[in-house]
Amino acid sequence: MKTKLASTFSLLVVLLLCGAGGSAQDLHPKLKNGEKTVRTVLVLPPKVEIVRQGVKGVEGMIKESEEVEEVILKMISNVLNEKNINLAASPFTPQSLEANNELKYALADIQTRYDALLPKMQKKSNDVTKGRFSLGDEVMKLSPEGAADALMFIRARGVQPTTGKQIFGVLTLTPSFPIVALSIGLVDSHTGDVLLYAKPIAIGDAVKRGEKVLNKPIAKSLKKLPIAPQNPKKGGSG
Amino acid sequence: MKLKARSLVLFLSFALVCSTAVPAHGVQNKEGFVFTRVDLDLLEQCDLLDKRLEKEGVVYVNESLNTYVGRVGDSVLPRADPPERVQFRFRILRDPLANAFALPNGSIYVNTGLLALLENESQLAAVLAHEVTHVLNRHSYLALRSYRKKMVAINVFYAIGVWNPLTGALGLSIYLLANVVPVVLAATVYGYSRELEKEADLYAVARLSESRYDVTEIVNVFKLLQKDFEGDQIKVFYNDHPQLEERIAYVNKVIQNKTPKDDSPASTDSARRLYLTATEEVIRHDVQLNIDAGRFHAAVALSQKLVDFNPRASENFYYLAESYRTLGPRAPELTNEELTTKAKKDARKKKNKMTLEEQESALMATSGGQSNWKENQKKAQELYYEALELDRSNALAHRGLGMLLEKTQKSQQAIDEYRKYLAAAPNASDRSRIVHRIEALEKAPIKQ
Repeated sequence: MKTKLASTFSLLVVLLLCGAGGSAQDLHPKLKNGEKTVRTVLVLPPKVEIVRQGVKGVEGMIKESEEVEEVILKMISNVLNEKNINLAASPFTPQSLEANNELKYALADIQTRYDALLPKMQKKSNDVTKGRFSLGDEVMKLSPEGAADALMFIRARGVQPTTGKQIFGVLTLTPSFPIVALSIGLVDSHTGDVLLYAKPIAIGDAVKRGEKVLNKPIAKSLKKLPIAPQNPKKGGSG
Repeated sequence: MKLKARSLVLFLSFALVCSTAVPAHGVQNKEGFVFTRVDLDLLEQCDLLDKRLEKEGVVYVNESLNTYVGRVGDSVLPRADPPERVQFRFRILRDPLANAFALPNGSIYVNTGLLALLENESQLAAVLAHEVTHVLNRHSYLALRSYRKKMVAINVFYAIGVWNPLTGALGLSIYLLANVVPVVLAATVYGYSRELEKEADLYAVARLSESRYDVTEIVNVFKLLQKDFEGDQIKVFYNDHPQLEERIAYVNKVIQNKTPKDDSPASTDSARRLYLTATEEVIRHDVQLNIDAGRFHAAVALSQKLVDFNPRASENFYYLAESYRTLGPRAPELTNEELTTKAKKDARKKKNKMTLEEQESALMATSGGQSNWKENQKKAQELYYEALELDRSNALAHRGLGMLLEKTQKSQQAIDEYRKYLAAAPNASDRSRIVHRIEALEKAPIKQ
């Protein structure tokens, strides 16, 4: 019993530490040494999956997940603004996607390509610093004419335990609490190289108190992203 | 105090089990199915999922193909009105894996990978009839109810394990039971039960027998599903679908007295041609999806199928050329040794560990990989030329040829082919990418 208590406690401490600040972030050497400058970022539609976890199992929360997507986009936009990084106007508005299947497929295919690479990055995120990961130059389809220096991919998975599950967790010494694990990838819009990869963890009810819960972990996770130098020519490639 | 806490946990667990056994306030409809709040929540999630799949670009949109699949789907529906809260819609999902699934709201999705694998309309009808049964017989709701009960049981056993008050032999057996039962239950949680899958197979047999389709083709669908192009079909200790051999056996038993509608070679060939004519475009799309997903062996097999079916289409030669080019240092087909369970598991580990580029580099370091690469590039080059022979304006063939020549370090020829591509497709979505490649090649010292 003592071992179980101790392991639960240590897990809690680790998670709290992650949420409180220690979120991992890895930078490509080109970004780190200033060889590549990011002035404009095209943020791709995030993929967020939050589920409700009760004693009777897991239920989907698709509508709530979409609301959290909006909050994440807002938080990301704030952080990038603080770093003098412009947000490229997204060509992926619901109207443009509805009218253009080719554009919709191109976006879906690049997102799928990123998702295929993601498990390897999660396993060895430190390899981003060695420039190991790339999506290839096909990413240029999403940012023709160099409209952006980098593309941002956002993923989030979260759990919202019900009150019943929380009580049950306390009684069985396995505390359950709302948590969202994010992953943010910044990819060179010309070469497809992964420039930055961060894994912030937000503890708290992101559905009800999105901004409050997500703001700090997201800001901390992009702390190492260099501030863009002032440049009169907006959208220039680095 | 300790005893009180334990009693409380046991009482709560008991209450939870009881609560799942009784349906929540539901509405009984004419078929006798009572919708609970949980069922209605699931239905709402499914409607949202439909919209999300569409929004994310994973639904394949092609009017004529959608009409075709919809017509085949409608023909296996019962004549009566659909059940309450069901609206049948047949959709195509851009996914190279051979799969299909049904949502309880009546949305039935067939992957491009499955459409590309099938050989005739009867097989497609069999797949759709199977999925229709899951909707008609409310299998998703039943599976969800069963899942919820099992989850409660898992939690109860877990709680017992944590608060096990007994020691000695009895205590140990309770401990073991509490730890083993959740694992067994968890293994049965995912997917429909084997009984529900069997029910869907047998309904498909009944529906096809009553229709103009050839019921014996159901068995051929299972045989096609056994094809393992990529060596990624690994048997696990529990699967929701009965094993394919088992399915072939019980379906064969049911259809043994039924004769094929018309099994003359001419009729079989005509049925195949009709189906491939309707699906040729989506098979091409699926070949590209396979290439993008690193499923190069499947891409070669499917594009070869396209060329065999329609050798006059320049596009089919282009896709076969692309498949060989991207196959790189791999052999076009996996060997029997590579298809053993152990070899498949090893290959999966490697795939999980290495990126595609790293896998290719490792293969290129071997003599076998080198010789495969040379052969595949040679074959691809011939196929690009055949594609261009059939249609000089095939822009994609110029682009593919350019990429092949770039890789084989024939820079000037690569630049020429890229320029031909840009001239033939001035509004191509990847124009910037190709311009960038030309610029890079021009900067580098020219090699011939």
